[in-house]
Amino acid sequence: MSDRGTALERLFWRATVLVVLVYAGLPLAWIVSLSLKPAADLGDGHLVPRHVTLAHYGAVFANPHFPAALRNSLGIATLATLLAVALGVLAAYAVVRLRFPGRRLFLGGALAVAMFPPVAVIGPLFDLWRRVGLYDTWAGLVLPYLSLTLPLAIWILAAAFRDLPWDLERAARVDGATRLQALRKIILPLAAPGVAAAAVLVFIFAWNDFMFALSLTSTDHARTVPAVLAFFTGASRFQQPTSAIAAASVVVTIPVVVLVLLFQRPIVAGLTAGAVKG
Amino acid sequence: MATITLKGIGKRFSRGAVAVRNVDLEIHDGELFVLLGPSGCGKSTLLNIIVGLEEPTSGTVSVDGRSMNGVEPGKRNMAMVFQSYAIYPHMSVRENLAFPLRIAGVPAEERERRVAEAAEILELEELLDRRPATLSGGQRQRVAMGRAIVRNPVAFLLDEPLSNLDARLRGQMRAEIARLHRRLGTTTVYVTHDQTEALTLADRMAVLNRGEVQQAGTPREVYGRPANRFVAGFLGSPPMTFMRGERDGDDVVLPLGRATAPGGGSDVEVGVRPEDVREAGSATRASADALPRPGVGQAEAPSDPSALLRFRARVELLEWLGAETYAHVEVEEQDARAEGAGWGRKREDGRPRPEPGPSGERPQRLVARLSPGSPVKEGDVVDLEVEARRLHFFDPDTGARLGDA
Ligand SMILES: Nc1ncnc2c1ncn2[C@@H]1O[C@H](COP(=O)(O)OP(=O)(O)OP(=O)(O)O)[C@@H](O)[C@H]1O
Ligand SMILES: [Mg+2]
Repeated sequence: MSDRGTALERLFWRATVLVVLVYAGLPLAWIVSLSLKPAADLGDGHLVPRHVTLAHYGAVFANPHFPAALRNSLGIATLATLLAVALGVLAAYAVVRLRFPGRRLFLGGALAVAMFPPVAVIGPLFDLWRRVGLYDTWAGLVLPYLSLTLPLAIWILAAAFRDLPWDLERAARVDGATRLQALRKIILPLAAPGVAAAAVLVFIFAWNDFMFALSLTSTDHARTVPAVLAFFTGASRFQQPTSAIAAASVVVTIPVVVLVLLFQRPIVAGLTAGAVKG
Repeated sequence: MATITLKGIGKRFSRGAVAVRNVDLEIHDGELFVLLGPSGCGKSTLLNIIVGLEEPTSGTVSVDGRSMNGVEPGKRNMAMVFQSYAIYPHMSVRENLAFPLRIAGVPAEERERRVAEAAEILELEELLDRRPATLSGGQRQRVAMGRAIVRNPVAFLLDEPLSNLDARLRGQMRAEIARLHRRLGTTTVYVTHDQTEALTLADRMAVLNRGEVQQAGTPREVYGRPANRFVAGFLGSPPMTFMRGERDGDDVVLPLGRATAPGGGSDVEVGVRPEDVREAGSATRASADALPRPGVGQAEAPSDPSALLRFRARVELLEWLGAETYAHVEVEEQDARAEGAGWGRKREDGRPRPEPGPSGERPQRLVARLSPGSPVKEGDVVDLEVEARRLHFFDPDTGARLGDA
C-alpha cells in the first residue's frame, strides 16, 4: 500500500521534473539550434539543425561593439557584485548581531526596496544621470544594480549569519580578534554558502539587465551585452538578425551557466538557509 | 596570574531583565573559583562581564587593581571555554590551537612550539590534523581547553565546560581540569550548575540565585554553614529537609522533637541534611565520619540526650546506592512538648494525643542516610536521631541563617 504510494509519488515527481526541464530547456535548446543553422534553414522548424555552421558566432565576435560590450558587462557586473556583497555583509552583520533602534524597520525597508518596480525609476534616473554626468558610465549602471540587489543580498546574508553559532564569534573575540577580524576569519568562511548565493544572484541580475543598460548608456563606453544585442543587425539590412542574436545569447549565457554550476551547492544551501535547521 | 575583583556589578538587559545584581566578589590569584547556581541565575552573564563580552550596567571589574571597564575582550588576555566549546569548524585542531597566537602575531616557530606544548599537556598530539567535526565530545572539550591554555592567559573562564559530556566522561574531565589547574596554577573561574563539580573542584565558590550572590566561601564553609535557606536547599543531594519549628521559650518544637534554637522569640525554619540523620544508637560511628563543622563547639557529647533529637519514623521508600542507602521516611507524630524520657511515645499505645503536632495535620517527611548494611525494610518503623548541633536554623521570613552564621 505504502510502497505503491511511494512509487506513485516517485512517478509524479519524475514527471514534474521532466515537464519543468522541457519547459525551461526547450527555448534554450531552440536558441542554440538557431545559432548553429545557416540562414537558409532558419524557418525549417527542425530542432536538430540539418546543417551546422559556426558562422554566426564568428559574426558575433566580429561585431565591433561586442568585445567592448562583453568587457563592460563583466566589469560592471563584477563591480556591482563586489560592492553589494561587501555592503551586504556589513549590513547583515549589523542586523543580526547588533542591537540598534529601527532594526526591524531597516529590514522591512530593505524588502520594500527589493519590491520596488525598477521601471519606475528609469525615467528620472535618465534625467538625473545626464545632469550629474553619470550617463553612459560604468558607475551609472553599477549604482542602480547595487541599489536594487543590495536588499536581497542583505536578506540572504542575514539568513546565513543567523544560522551561525555566535559563540564562535565571541570565542574569536576572546581569543584576541577584533570584530572585523572575527568577521573575516570566522564568520565569512563559515557563511561562505550564503555569500556565494548572494554574489551569484547579484551578478546574474547585473549581467542580464536590459532596461537600465538600454536606457542609461549610449556607446561602447558602458553599453553592456544585452543592450548591444538589441542593436544587432543581420548580414544584410533586409535580413532578420535572428541567428546572430541567438549566437550572441548563447555566448552571454555561458558565463552564467558556468557560474551557477560552480556554485550550485552553495547557492541552494544559501537560498534555503534558515528554512531548516542543519 | 591575576586577582579578579568585582565591585557592585549589575547587569540589566535592554528589555528590562535584570540578570546580575550588585555582585561583589574577589577571586584570588591562582585559585579555582566556582560560580554555582540554578539555570538562568546569571552565571554566564557574570562570566561574560568578566571577560568583556558584556558591559556591566553598573560596577567595575578589575584585574590586579586595574579597571577593565571598556577594555575589549581580546585585550584582557583571558581565555574562555564555552559550553558549546566554540571550536572553529573550518580549521583543523592545530589551526584552532594556533588561532589566538596567530591573532596576537606570534611568529610561526614559537607558535608551533606552544601548540605542541599545549597538545602534549592535553594529549591532543594525534588529533592535531583532524577536523573538529570528526572529534568526539571529550576530544572537542580538550581542544577547547587547549586553545585556552596555549596563550598563557591571566585567567581561565570556563562556562559549564562539562555539561555536554556523558556522566563518565564528565567525571574524567573533572579530574583532568583539577589536574590542569594544579599544574598551571592559573586563576580560574568555573561556572556550573552541578554541585558535585563545584564542591570537588572549588578552592572557593559563590552560590548565585536570581543574579545575586547568596554566599561565598570554601566548599566546606558553604556546605557546612549555608548562609540562607536557598543555599541550604541547593547544596546537598538528596537535598536538606526543611520543617517548621514553633517557638516555645528558648526552644523550638519540631516534628522531630525539641531543640534549643537561636534567634529572637519567633518561629524558625529548620533544615536537616540526610547524612545527619542516623539510626538511633549508631551514634559514635555516625559522628566519626560526619563533616567537621567550624564554629560549633565540641563540648556537648554526642550522647548527651539534651543535644539529641530522637524520633520514630515509618520508612516509605529505600534507595540503595551501593555505598549508602537513603531512606525516605514519614515521621510518626509524637508528643514533643513532653520532656525527658516520655517524648518518644508511639501512636500505637492507644492514648489520645494531648495536642496536635506542631506541623499540623500533614505528616513530616524526611530523608535519612543509612548505612548500606542496615537491615531496615520499606514499611518498617525505625528509631532515628539527629544531633541538635547539626540542625540548621533559618528565619522563616527572610530565609537568613540564624545563630552561628
Ligand atoms: N541578551 C540577553 N537579553 C536579555 N536577557 C538576557 C540576555 N542574556 C541573558 N538574559 C537573561 O539573563 C538571565 C541570566 O542569564 P544567564 O545566561 O547568565 O544564566 P545562566 O546562569 O548562565 O543560566 P544557564 O545555567 O541556563 O546557562 C536569564 O534570565 C536570561 O533570560
Ligand atoms: Mg549559562
